[in-house]
Amino acid sequence: MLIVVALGIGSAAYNTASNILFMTLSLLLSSLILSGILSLVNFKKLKWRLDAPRHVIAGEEGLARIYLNNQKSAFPSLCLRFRTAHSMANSEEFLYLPGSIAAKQTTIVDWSFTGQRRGPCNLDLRGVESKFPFGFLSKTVGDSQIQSVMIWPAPIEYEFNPLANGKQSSLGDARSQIGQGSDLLKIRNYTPGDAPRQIHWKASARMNRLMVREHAAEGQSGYHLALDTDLDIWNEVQFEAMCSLAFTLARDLFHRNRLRSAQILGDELIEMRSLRDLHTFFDDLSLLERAQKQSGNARSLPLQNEINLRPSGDHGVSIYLDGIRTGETK
Amino acid sequence: MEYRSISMEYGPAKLSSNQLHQLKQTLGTVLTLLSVWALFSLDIQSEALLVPAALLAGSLVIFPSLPKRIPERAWRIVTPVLIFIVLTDFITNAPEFIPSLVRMVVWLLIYRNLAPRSQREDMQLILLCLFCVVLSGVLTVSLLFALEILLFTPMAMILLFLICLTDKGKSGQKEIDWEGFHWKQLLIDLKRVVDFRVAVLTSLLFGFVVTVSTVLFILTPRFNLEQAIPFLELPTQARSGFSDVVQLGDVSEISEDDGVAVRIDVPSIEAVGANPYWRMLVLDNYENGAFQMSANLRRRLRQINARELPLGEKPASLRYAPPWTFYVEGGISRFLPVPGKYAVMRFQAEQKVQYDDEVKLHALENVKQSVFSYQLAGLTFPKSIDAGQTEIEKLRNFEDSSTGTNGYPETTVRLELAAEDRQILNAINQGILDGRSLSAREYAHELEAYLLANFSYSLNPDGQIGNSASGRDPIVHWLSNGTRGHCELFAGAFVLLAREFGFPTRMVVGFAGGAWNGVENYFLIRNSDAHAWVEIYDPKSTSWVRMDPTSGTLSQGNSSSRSGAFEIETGWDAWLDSLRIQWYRRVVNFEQDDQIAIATGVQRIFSELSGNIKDRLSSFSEIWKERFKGAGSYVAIGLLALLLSATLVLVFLFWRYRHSCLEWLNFSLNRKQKLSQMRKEAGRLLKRLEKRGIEDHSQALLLQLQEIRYGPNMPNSHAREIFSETRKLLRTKLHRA
Repeated sequence: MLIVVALGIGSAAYNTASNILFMTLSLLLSSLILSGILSLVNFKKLKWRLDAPRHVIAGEEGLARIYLNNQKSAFPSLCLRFRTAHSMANSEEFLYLPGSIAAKQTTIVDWSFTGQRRGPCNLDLRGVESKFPFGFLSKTVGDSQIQSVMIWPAPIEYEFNPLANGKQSSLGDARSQIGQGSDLLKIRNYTPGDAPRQIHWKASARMNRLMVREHAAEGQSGYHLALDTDLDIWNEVQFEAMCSLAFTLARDLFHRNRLRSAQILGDELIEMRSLRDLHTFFDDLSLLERAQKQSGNARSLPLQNEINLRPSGDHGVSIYLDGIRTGETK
Repeated sequence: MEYRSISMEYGPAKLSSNQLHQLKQTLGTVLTLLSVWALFSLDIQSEALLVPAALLAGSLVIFPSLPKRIPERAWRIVTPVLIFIVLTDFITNAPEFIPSLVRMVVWLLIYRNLAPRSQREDMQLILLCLFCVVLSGVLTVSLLFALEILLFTPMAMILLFLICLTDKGKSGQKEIDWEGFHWKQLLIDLKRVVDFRVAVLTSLLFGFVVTVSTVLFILTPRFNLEQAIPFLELPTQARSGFSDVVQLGDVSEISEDDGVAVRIDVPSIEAVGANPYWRMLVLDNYENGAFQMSANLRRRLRQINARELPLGEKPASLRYAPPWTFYVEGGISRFLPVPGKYAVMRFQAEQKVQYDDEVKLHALENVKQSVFSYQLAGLTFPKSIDAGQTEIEKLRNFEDSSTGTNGYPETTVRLELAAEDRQILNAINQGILDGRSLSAREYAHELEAYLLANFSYSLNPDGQIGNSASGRDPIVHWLSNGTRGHCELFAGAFVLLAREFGFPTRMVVGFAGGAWNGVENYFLIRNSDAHAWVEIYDPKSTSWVRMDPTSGTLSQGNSSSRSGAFEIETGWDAWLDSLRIQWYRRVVNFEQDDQIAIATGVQRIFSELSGNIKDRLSSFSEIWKERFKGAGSYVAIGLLALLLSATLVLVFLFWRYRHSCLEWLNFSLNRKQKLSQMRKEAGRLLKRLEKRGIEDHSQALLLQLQEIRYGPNMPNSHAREIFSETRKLLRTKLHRA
């Protein structure tokens, strides 16, 4: 705005040779210079870093954090806003820093975002923008910082009733708590996601690294989730519903300690020993796409308690346990 | 690294978001008030709108929550109503559009102040205010503009800063809450925020803006000024005494005004003659008791576009002769005061001028509302002006043929009076001549002596000159019955008597005398110096001789200054007025030549400075060379090495600990202020109570004292009451003890 006004007054000054206009022009230009200097000071020694979560569930709010550090020794930085965008939204958003950040201080700015659909999502912090000091000239500094977030499928409501189909015995083998009343199978290395109570402290002390107990109960009961991505079976809507169902079912079964493994047909079987295994499966689910069935993808022998998902109607998905229909999406 | 969460660590700002919005709103209103004040300088006959606008802005400053009472639906009809008013104004006042434009801006200002404002509207308000201030400045070229822009700039900057601070995007916009708003509280909070450091920093920044803008103003290249288009001008009326038709008494009326009419930058005080006369108008025709410029003389004025007069090449010696710069205030006259002969008349830019080289008349197309400046080079103050060839020819032919025509210069002899009046004039002339045959100059002096002997100067003439019921000419009536009169009567009587005798004579109106401003050394002419005198044609020298029949009255001790002599002014008023001439010299009339002069001056200063430094360095090196050669050379080298080392160490220490220094400075400035006297006194009394062991007996008093000592500030009167009670308690306990 000021630049346009300065141009207007400048041309009027030159056309009319009025020193009053030259005086006004000088004041406007000096204000522009001051604005530039103050803006430079405002941005000087300002560092920021984006810390995004690894994954977020589609439709739910995710929270990334921006660590902003003012390394100046005397002056605060004011009126800052971050230019943000993520690959699932076309528009750019501004994230305002409330108040100011004092000299030698660090602050955290929360960036909440929502992934609309499953798949990878890039969070793009395009720099810090400020209209400081006079609010009419927007200046941006800094390179783009991009971090990828995996958007897991959105949860879906479903019914799953294995008991109604004579699977009570096999389900009864599952324990609600790990290690209660079962024999110790082995002691293995700790992997992120293992429950702290599983840690074997004596073994950890001896080995000088974290070790966890694995009970006989693990791997001996629960379900095996097998997903078929055959293009001929699924239409697009059903396929998305299948991914959501697989995600929700796997999550729920895992939390009840009843998910033993999961496999996408054609990929390797993922044994659900820890949360990390589940997350790996979720990441795979996020990237899952329909594919033409290939001859090598066929599995020779189905596992016991194997859950398969099949289309039901135009939009729905049914759950089959060992070939028997035991549930469906609502 | 220590991370701070906003929600945890950053407490509320010293001024809350709502307070910042309140401040922004009221500052916008103050800016509006300033703009309306600036518009008052314009003579656009819009007081009916400007006064309510100023009152409204003033009310909004005091009661900023007033617009909240306007119902939302009212804003729906405002836009069409405003459009209707503005269009009607433009159409009815066409083709004059500046007053309508100004009124439109005032309407918009009123609307912007009453309607809710977001960031965009705040920006619009600032632009509207800037427009008002600049338009007023450009049209009036007044010194007041400097003050207005100096007030406007920091206020606009603070307002813009507040807009920036309160900008939280569209989602962050909210209505201002005026509930419980008190100016006092806001100012107290503001005072808390604006501490010493903020005030100093703000002042420094403003100083920076002023300095940089001054440098930019000087350095901004001025070129093609010859092709400059004159800025929009507001026409105005001339003073009645300085128009084409002058009634008797008009000039004297002006002389009652003590305002400054013209300021003149002159080469030196000696250059101004002892009795300077500043010719503006030549009134050759006399009809019905009024002097006027005849239609023929008006037609003689050639209208041209020029930056310099006379047209054509001039010798360099004349072109670069020391110039006299005239600054004529607005609303005086379209005729320019020119004392006499000049070599070159120069305007700041190309100008539409009407002028006649023979009669020496110079007029602008319109009366300027703002100050108008021009330069005269090679100026002289002759007592007589050479008549032009046309004038000489026509006047000679007129004498020969004795046939009257209506053309100029014959109008300077024509006398259309009743026979009775002419008889009176003739009788007076016969008395003056006393049978002698006199030349024009001799006659003029005799006539001047006659008037001096028979009439005295007064702004309240007698002789019933205004009474036209008698059907007699007012001047002749005054000559017959009056004893005192003003300059127009003296000059008019002179003209009529001389014409009756047959000498071509004309009345001249302008200024006589003036004053010298001793503060800034310039000449100034006030409206009170307005004067009328005559020019009589002398066929012998073929020139128009200036005669001032009023001037002789001054030797009789008349208090009114009509002598043309000037006094030297000093003191507070002179200092204030000198600011204006500085403004005209340094700002309004600043041009390329001034830039060149400044550049040359700076170059000279730098060359002198570098020369001095070089000399000092060479002498310094010579001294050290001598010392190195001498017996104590080791000592000298040691001293030099020590000096260099100390300098390096100091530089290193400063650089190494600069942050610590800054922190120390920060700490020192942030250090808590010393306890106030009130708190000190409360502390003393608490100690005394403790010492006497009587603190348990009066818990309420104790708590109040502790509140004064450690709590928030308390009104002095209340604290004094508590102190008084405590002392009373202490005394009581002491007596009992």
